[in-house]
Amino acid sequence: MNEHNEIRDLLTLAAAGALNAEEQRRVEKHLCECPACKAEFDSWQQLTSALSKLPTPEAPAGLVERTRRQLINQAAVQKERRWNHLVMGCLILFGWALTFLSWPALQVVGDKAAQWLDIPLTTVTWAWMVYTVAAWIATGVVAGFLGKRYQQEGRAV
Amino acid sequence: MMGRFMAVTFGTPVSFESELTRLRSGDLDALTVLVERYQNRLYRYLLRLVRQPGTAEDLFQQTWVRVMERIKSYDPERNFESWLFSVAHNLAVDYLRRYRPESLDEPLPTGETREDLLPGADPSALEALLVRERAGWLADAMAQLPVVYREVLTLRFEEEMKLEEIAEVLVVPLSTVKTRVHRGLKGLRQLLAKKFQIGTQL
Repeated sequence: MNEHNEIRDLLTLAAAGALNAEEQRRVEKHLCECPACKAEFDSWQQLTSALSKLPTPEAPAGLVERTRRQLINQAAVQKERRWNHLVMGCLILFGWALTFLSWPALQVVGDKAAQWLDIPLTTVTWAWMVYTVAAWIATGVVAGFLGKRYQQEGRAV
Repeated sequence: MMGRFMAVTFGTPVSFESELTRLRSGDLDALTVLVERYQNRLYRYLLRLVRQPGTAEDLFQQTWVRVMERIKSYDPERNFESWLFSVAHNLAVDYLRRYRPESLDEPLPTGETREDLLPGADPSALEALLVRERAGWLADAMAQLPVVYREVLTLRFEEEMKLEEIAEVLVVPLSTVKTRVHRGLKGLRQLLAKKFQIGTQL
């Protein structure tokens, strides 16, 4: 009886041709002995064969051509986006390089600037450091936002 | 030699080195050949999932745009067909989640015990039904089935994919695919039985 119930649960998958060899063998053996299961199996098989004979809906006329045009457009958009990435990347690198280069400049003009503004050199150095860090953080944040936006645009395609 | 053998066996000529190289270099003509080759099958799959021709066409186009974008990360060892259908699957599921979230967790009409199925379990009645109204009613019943079930049924019986390939498309374990095929068929028979009952009362 237990075997009967177990086989009964396998009949859908048997009709779907989705059993492994061992299960298939068990099911076939049982079907020879049990007319009730055989009838049930035949009924599932009718359903699955009807499913595989469902009429295929025709793709709409011109679908391939419209898709091709869409692909051409998107290829152009992608190219432009890649170019934009490159330009943005260069600008950000340039910004960072400028702040780096400003340190040697501070060594040269720091003294004069401090004298001219009539403040200690340490204050000038501190101000410069704050400026550098702020610039780095700002470019980092901008790069992050841009990256996120490009990613979202990419996903929305 | 092996490539040719694989191509013939699995019907995926994309495994040909030259075709893949052309695709990767962004050759749109090579891609269009594929669009044409898979148009009916891919469109049918998407139509079964979303049920609206307009949406199916949109998703069809989006699928190929994504294929173009991702072709560089496609692993040639993998079956192209299951990769293609998994791209389409992800876009369709994203769409359904965004615009028709209720469709993703529709329950089956009722429970799944054999007792529930009894009215339709008479094979001769079902046989008569299938012979008479086969295509129309079956297609209607398919459309009423929850999306996760009609998806595995269309992949198994219309696209004729193996269960392992379906698991690859859906990125779920094989056991899940088996369960869905089992429940999907049961749910389908139940829907047909209901229709049949109404049909005989009329």
